[in-house]
Amino acid sequence: MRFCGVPLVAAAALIAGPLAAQYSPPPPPAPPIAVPDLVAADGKYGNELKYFVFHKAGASFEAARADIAECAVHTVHGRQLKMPAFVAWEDNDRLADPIVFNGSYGLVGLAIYSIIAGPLERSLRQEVMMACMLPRGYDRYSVTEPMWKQIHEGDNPAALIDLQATIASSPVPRTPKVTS
Amino acid sequence: MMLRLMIAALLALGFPAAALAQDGPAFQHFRAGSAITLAPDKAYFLIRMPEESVSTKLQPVFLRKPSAAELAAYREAKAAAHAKAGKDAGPIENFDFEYTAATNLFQIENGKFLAKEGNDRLFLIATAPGDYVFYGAGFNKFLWQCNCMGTVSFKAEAGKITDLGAVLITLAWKPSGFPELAEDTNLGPKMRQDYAMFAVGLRPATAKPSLAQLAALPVQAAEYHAVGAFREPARLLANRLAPVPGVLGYDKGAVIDLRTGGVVPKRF
Repeated sequence: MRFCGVPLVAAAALIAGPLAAQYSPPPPPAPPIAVPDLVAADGKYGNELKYFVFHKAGASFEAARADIAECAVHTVHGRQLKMPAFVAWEDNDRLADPIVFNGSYGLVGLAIYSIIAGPLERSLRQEVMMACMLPRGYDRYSVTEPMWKQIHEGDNPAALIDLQATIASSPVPRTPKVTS
Repeated sequence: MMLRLMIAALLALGFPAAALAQDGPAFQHFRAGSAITLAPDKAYFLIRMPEESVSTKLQPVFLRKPSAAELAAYREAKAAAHAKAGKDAGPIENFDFEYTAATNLFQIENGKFLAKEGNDRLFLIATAPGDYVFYGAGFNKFLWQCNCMGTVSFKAEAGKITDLGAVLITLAWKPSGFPELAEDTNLGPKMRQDYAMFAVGLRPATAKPSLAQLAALPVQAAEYHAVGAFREPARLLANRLAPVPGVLGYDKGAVIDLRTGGVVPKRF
């Protein structure tokens, strides 16, 4: 028996040989991230300057995740540097003594981004996130305070950023758009 | 006796040499009435602070990029401290380390100006030659806000005065008198929460100030270059330096070098 003029056994060998070496099954798809229902049952939302989610029409999950993760780095802050001081500009090893936080966390990376913080810290963080995200074309949509905490505060900052990126790249939230 | 000591102290403050010495050797403000002589091994900044900037009480902060020797000494000291801390030190990337053997980050002090030109204060600073970054703004020598989302660098050559132009600082939530800050101001209540966000910008020099003291001295305008986003957590707020025409732009958050049109990668 032949296939395309080639004996079938030989054809199978051809397919199994070089192609087999290149082929690897794709990884199983990640389970879809469940987006909570952002709409408040009673129609009442938190302070729109503090409790909102970012959304950008047409954004991909990957682009939204990259934007949120990069901006989250700028929300990490601690005790202010007293000058004059020395900064090893080339080393990118800047740290800051933690202030007001509770729990254990690392100073490098995103751990502080997700800590449970008081209202002063929250407003600082939101101003920095807005300074970073709004010029990238993101809009804001109101959520309730408990919903905001569910999306932004917890032990797994990477998972929270995935959730925020999913929201940012999903259909437009059905909550009021923040314009102030 | 006490009165004599007080008078002696007050007289000492009036001497030009003492006015420089009080700042320490690394970053020295020339005060009003100072005699200006340029040392061949020092660089000099000329900075204009308009009244609106001064009124915020924030003052510009500059970083001098460390020399290779300074960086090597820092890395050696950090490695030694990390080794000394033992098994509890954790990874060196997370190792909190205080280093006082050198300084390269400085804040201008609004009260130590050389002269006024109209409502602007003019500052003349003696510092080390090198490459500098406009790092952010400080308050009482504590870093308040970093230009972490994009900024500029410039060279300060020895024996010359580098005119940085005007530093523009104002509140981001309300309209500003600085047209250069149009995109970064009038942002409304979202930038006026518990700690108000500031807008920071530059107006590069286009003409030498008319100060008689500078007439015979070599003054050259700073040549600015775009710098990518960097990390600096030891402050309260982070923002971008406002766009500088021909130098620094932004495209959806990406820092653009307007001299080349290319994206400047972030530094983390």
